[in-house]
Amino acid sequence: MWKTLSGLFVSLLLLVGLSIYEIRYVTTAMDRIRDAAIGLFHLTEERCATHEDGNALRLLWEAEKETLHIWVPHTSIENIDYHLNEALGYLYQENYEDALPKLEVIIDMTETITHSIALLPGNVF
Amino acid sequence: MGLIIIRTILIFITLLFVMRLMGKRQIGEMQPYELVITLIIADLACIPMADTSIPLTYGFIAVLTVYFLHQLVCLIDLKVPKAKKILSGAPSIVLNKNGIDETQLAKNNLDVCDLIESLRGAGYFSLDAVDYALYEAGGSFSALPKKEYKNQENSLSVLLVNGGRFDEKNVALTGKTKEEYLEILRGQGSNELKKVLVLTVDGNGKAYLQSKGQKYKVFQIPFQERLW
Repeated sequence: MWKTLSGLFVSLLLLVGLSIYEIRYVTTAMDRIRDAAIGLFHLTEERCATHEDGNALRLLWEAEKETLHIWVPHTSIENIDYHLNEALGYLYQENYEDALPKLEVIIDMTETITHSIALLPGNVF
Repeated sequence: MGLIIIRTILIFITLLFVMRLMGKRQIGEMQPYELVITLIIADLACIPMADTSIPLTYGFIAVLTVYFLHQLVCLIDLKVPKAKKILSGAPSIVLNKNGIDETQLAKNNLDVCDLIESLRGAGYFSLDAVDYALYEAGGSFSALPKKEYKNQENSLSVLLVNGGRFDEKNVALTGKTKEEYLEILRGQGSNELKKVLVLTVDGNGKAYLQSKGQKYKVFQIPFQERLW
């Protein structure tokens, strides 16, 4: 009986704790990346973003994604990798028109990932 | 993470509900919730293991949720008798001193053939060999033999009528025709075949007859020689 109750309590605590931690961690990390991506998007719109600005976003993303791999499906991370690399390539060529949609995709994906872990009926079913 | 927990709980409840609806035949020797856990735990562990696009965390959390549900159901099973009946079911007495209880059989999605098969599995080759037979909540079969059962001259029984229909192959095996059996049934007061739940006969000619909603009868059918 004691074993059942303690197992129940510990597992419930772990499940609730991990759920709260995951939502907070992923939301915070994605907010940071989205803010940086929005900043880069505005610089690109003003046609003054450099390859170095893009690299700063990449460094931030590389640091965050190490841990994000634990919580977020790897395909979502690969998608952000893909669009970020393309955006940086365009920025290197100073091709601002083509870099903008790529950055927009990254901003949108950070929102989608945060939304996909939220406890909403649409996500449950 | 929270999503995985909610989804695992929903699938667990759905499977448990479906398993309880399916009756004892599908369960085997486990409690319904144990079977549900066995069914889902393999996939929960294997899918994140084999699919590298899914974080392993998803597998850990789902398995941990199943563990939590198992502990919860165990606790409810021990402490709340009414809930135990809902979660695990109750034993079904399918054969009593009056004969086969077809309502209980139907409730568990079983028919007379399944009952006879279970009896044979338990070592009884005739429906009148036992006073009581029941399917436990976990699906296993138990039977209480009659006191005089050991002294009876037993022979394998074959099913001649099951739920109002003749088993033509078995009828042919006994060397009599359907018309002859209908005559025998009329002699026993069963004028309508469709009202006969079961008629079996063994190698010695001993017949077991039960009409729907009535007590069973055992009588002798005359054969020129021993059947088998």
